[in-house]
Amino acid sequence: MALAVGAAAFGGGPPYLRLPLRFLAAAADPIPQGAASGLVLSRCMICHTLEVATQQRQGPQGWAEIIDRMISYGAPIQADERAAMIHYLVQHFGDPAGR
Amino acid sequence: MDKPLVFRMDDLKKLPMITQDMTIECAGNGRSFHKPKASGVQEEYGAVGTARWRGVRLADVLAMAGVRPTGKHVAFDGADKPPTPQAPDFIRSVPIWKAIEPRTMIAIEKNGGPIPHLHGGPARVLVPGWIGSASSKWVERIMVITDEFDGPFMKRSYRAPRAEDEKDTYSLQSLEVKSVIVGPSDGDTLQAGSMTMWGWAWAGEGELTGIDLSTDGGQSGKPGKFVGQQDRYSWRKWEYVWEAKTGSHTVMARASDSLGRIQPATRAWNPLGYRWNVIHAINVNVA
Repeated sequence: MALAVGAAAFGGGPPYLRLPLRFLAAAADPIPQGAASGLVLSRCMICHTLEVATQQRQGPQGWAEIIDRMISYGAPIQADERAAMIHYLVQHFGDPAGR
Repeated sequence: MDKPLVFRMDDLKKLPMITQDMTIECAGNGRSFHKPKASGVQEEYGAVGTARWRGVRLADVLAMAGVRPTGKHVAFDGADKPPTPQAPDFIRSVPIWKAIEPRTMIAIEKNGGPIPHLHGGPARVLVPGWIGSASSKWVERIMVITDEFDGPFMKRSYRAPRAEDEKDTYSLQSLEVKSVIVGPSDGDTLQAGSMTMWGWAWAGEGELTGIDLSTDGGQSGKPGKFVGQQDRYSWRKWEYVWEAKTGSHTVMARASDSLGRIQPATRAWNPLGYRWNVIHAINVNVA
């Protein structure tokens, strides 16, 4: 149940929960707003803290490898979401010298 | 094993106990200094610590269960379970020679009390001198197997390239030889005159043989001294008396050990950011 509550709090839950809690999350600005910021919050934090992701600095290949490994571990990320998340993560948590 | 056994905490407490001061360092300590950035928790200097552990020899427990000659590795599974069915359970193994080393233990006390949950209590494995992930927390199940455990935490993680070929990797075992400067701190302003610098050094399976200090950015160096008792598998405090003169100084510490290892000036990049034991350098101002 704790996991379900965590996911719901950042947009993965039923619609009646999603709006106000998303508003709260946005108000705290845990990560820069972007096309896939909600996906990062809702998908990554099912299993680990946000900091585990946001302390990383990776290039496109590095982020793709991480996302693909998370998908292999069962992260509920669809193909279009995968591309959007990698784009967002490279943009906001990229490493210019990275792969 | 000849006869699988179940031990409860009371059973463990009836066995002979050993006490060991032991330094545990994460294999990824210093990962954040790799360029480009390596994947993983972005540790700097702090993922290391030393405590006094008390527990039973793993060798005693294995002997009670009867290890067969084909048993070459010992794998540990903890009570931590993956968050999804697809994610791998954290299971790692060590070779039998290390598992039966007299100071490898199932610990049930840390610093004189029960092991706090975050540190692996109520019972954890301690594999002295090895990377932290060898010392499995919350141990529930111990398996004697014929080969290194076949799972991603042995075959993918905690491995580093032997040389330039990124694909030719080996499983990390002993910690590197390493030292850190604790006092003064990077960026400190100090008064001119005599001052005692200090820090810690450790060497995994090696034994520390020296600590050298430089106060001119590595152009010249002088030996520091270790203080207190030497205790295998525990870090050792070092000190160096410096006659500090006015100006800006880059202070560096470099440890060496009985395996012929010396802290390097650089470390080759590796994908998961391991083995960072590059010479620690800080900048101080003497007013």
